[in-house]
Amino acid sequence: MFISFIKSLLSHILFLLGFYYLNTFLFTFTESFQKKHIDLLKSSIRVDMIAMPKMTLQELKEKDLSLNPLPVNNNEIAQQEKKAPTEKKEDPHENETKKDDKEKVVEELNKNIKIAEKEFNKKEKDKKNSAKKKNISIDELDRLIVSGNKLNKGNRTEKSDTELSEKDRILSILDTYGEKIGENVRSYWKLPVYLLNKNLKCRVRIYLSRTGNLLKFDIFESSGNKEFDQKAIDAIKNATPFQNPPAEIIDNIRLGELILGFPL
Amino acid sequence: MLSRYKLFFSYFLFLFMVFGINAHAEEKNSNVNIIPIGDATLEKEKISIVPPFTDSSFAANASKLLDNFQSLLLNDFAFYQNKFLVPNYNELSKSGDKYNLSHLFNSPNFELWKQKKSDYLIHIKGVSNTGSTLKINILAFDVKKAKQIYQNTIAITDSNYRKEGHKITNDIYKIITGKESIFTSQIVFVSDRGSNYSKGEVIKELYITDFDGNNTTKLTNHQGVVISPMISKDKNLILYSLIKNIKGKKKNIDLYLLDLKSQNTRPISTFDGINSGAVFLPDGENIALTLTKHGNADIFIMNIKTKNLRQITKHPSEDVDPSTSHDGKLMTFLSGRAGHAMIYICDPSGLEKDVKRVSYVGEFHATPRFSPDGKEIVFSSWVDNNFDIFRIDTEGKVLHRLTKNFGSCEEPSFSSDNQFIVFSSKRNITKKTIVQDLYIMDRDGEIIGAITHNIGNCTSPRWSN
Repeated sequence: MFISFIKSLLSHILFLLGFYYLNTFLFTFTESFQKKHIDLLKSSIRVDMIAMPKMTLQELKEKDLSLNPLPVNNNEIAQQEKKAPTEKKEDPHENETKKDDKEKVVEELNKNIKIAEKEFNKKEKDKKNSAKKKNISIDELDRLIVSGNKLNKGNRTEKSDTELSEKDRILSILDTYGEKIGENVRSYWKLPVYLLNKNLKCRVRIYLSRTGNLLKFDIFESSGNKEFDQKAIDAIKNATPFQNPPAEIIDNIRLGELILGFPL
Repeated sequence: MLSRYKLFFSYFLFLFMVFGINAHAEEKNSNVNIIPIGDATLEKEKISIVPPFTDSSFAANASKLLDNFQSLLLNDFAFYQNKFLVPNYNELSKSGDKYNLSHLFNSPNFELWKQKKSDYLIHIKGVSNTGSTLKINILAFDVKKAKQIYQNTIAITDSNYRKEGHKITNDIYKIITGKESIFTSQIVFVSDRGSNYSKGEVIKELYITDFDGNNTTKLTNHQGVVISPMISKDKNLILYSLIKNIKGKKKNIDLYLLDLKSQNTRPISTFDGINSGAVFLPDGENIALTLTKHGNADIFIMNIKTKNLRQITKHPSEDVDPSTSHDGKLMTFLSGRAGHAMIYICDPSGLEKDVKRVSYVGEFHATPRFSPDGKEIVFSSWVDNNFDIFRIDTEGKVLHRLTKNFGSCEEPSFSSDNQFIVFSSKRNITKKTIVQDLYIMDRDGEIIGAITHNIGNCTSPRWSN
């Protein structure tokens, strides 16, 4: 009886280990598969360079546009990511009786048309405003975009909201906030000539308060050069306080989930 | 039996769930977002060049020479406007400020300069004056480290102070940045000065000038038309092509080699037709040039001494304007093989080897020139009824426009440190009169200024080391 007890215990342990490794393996496998899928999708989007640039490099710099030049292959296009569609409010009365269905559908359609119109007008307004800000007419803006000067930052592909889990949603909010503060820090990120082009890199972990103030920081990965690290910290300090973070990510930023990489 | 299996099954199901959750939990704990900040921008360094230290025993012309020397240092460092801030301290000498006290020459007040946020400090002092020669001391200091980083004593005259001054600024620049500057470089170009267009007399001769437009010197007197000059790495030899003004006879375009040391020039390639667009290859013994000896224009490599020829391009369309990267591994040229003039690169070690098209858009292009690091090609392109200058990477992926509304901008040439581009700009003053001068801009298209003025219409600039 003792032997059979040992046997069953051993078989338990073996199965335990087996399940553990199977689980982790499956998890990492699907993750890399997903990643490959996304990479494949990104690389299959194409854009054509159809004309010589209208604006000079100086003009583009002056208009304070992000200057990552479009990587263009001879017949391929730069990556362009689309913005997530805005969340549509779910109609709580969708499952009403058949009699009201037709009416409901028409009502729903009208509502959607109004929302779409509002969005369209807002976009036009934004376009006008941004064109005004940059002192260029809307027509010129359109022509510029068509003729190949990169003007808009591009948008992000995301799954439709019904599919996003809560965790993914928070991650994307954190990502967006991270990008915004990244831009702020970037404008203060300066190095003297003897520290440039030396392939130095460091990463600084930051802990932010609910109002975007810097609570503390630590050097996650040092570059090995104290001055370089200090310049990175100076850039962060100069850029704080950051803008107010969205409520959903207050815990994440307080716990130091944001790491700034200089340069990556 | 069944209940035992049920037990096992539920037991493992439970374990599976536990580990599943655990795996996810681990994922969550390792959740950090890395935000890339990207490359840093250059922080400008402040170089303070103080008015020269003198005592009253110096004559007026010696003082003037000292002031000119100081101006040269100021202008040289200010040229690198993206790297250095060079404030003007000339007001200090007028107010009798303490910076003219001799004892401060060797030991400056570093604390004061730190307060002024100066990174570097340069002191000049007149030591002695004999006739037209002035002996001077130059010291440079690193303010943050509070120590002297450079010292030199030289003798200058009105005629040589520029040359000597540029050597000094290059030395100091090398100490600060670790790289060679453009201060000792020169630009060769062609000017039509002396032509009389109303009589149909067109004369174009070869000239050379300092990078800052000073010391312009005429080098040839053929009374013909000089085109496409190129200077060697060691700055001793210049290649150029010549169309002689011989009436009646068929005009050939011959290639000449000018030795600056001996002042001798001789033809080195006189095949029928065109012998032009010649550039030195990095080894100094071979040149790449365009020849039409076979009918259409093709690019060849020729050994200057042995005159041995090796063909690089072989295509029924015209292949012209070779330019190699500094290591000679890549060559860019202009070819009509696609139907209109487009930019290509190839491996110059073989015939039609690894020919790759670089430009796809635009009506037609001209004069592609490699950047010294071999990563980019600068060229002019016909856009909006004008030529303008563009910069493209060798993959053909990143295209930037550098000039616009600045006349017709052509024939760009990179400086050897990759930071600046010289080019010619042609403007119509009236319907009949044009003015064409050489300008310098930084590699991103910010115009620094003109380096030629009132010396005829200047074209075809080429920047030396």
